[in-house]
Amino acid sequence: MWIQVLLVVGLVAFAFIDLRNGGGGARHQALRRIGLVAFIGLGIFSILFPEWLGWVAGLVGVGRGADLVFYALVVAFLFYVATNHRRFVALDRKLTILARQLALTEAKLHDRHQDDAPAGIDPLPQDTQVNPPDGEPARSAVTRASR
Amino acid sequence: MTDTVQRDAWLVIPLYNEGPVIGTVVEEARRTFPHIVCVDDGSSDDSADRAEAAGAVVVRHPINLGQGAALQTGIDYVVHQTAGEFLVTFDADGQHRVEDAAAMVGKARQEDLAAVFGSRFLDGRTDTGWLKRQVLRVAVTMTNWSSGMKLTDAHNGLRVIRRDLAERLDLTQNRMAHASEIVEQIGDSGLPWAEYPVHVLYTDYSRSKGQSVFNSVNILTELLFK
Repeated sequence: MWIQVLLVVGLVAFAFIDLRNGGGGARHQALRRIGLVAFIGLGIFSILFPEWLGWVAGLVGVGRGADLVFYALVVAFLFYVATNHRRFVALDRKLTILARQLALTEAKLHDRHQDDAPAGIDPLPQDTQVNPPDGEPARSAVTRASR
Repeated sequence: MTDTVQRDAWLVIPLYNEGPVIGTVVEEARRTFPHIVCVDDGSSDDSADRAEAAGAVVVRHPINLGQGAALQTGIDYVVHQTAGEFLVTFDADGQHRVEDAAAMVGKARQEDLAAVFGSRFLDGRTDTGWLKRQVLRVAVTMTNWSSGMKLTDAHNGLRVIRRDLAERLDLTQNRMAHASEIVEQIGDSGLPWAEYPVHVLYTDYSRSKGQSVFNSVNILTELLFK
């Protein structure tokens, strides 16, 4: 049947793409590849011998093989969502650190530039860089707060 | 107005699209706090330029990251690029009073505290709406539960943090949940802290941004699913 050819070609193409773009650690990657090869093998087997899938479905109490595939798909999708979410959070974290570093570096360059400028342009530049704790206002703030 | 100029404190203002008010907020605050850093979180309006024109140091996020991320950037700036002894987190929309901030720094200095949290609920001055009050009550209960602290107001943007404590903070919650994250990290540090009654001004401007209810929903979900 044509559908069998199409599905097998599709699965093999997917495996080919996925095996080439593996990420993560060596161990994780190896496990992923083993799992994928097993999955592809099972997939092709089920496409060529659909009765087998029906038999497995009956074994676990599911009516049809197609239903079993559907349920497996739902679980696989949830797994995908979970791993993708984790990856997204990690990426977000990296992006935040990168953007923060960029912003702070830019601010530092800006400050330095102001320090180099002739005095009197900005009333605050020296203070902006280093402002040693000032005794006088500190004490008056204490008396203020103690009222 | 307070007459005390706080020279060793830095005001940290996370800034995101507050162009209409940020200039005034910075100008007024500068009379008491000459050192102000605004962290512009990728605003699409002229917020950053207005803050700079008003005399604040502006650190610009190249992209929008969230209020928690902006706060952490401000903390990093004060810790690594200034010698300020205290930092004060302050909202950009003008809902906090500068007098409260100055008094809180005074309290931290006088009582040797590493953190002073502003609280709307220590007295009856602040008029929060009913729904917001209920949400904040749930939020503070959950925050207290997870941090082991006893606060009356967990989501108040006005806080004083001393340098030694600021050096230890590492906020990873980019959005609203950073408020409880700060509380948790301060609790973990074991450093002394206190609350201080503040008055929050819900102006027409802050109301017009219409964030209260949606923010409440976000705060609750982020608390539950962080």
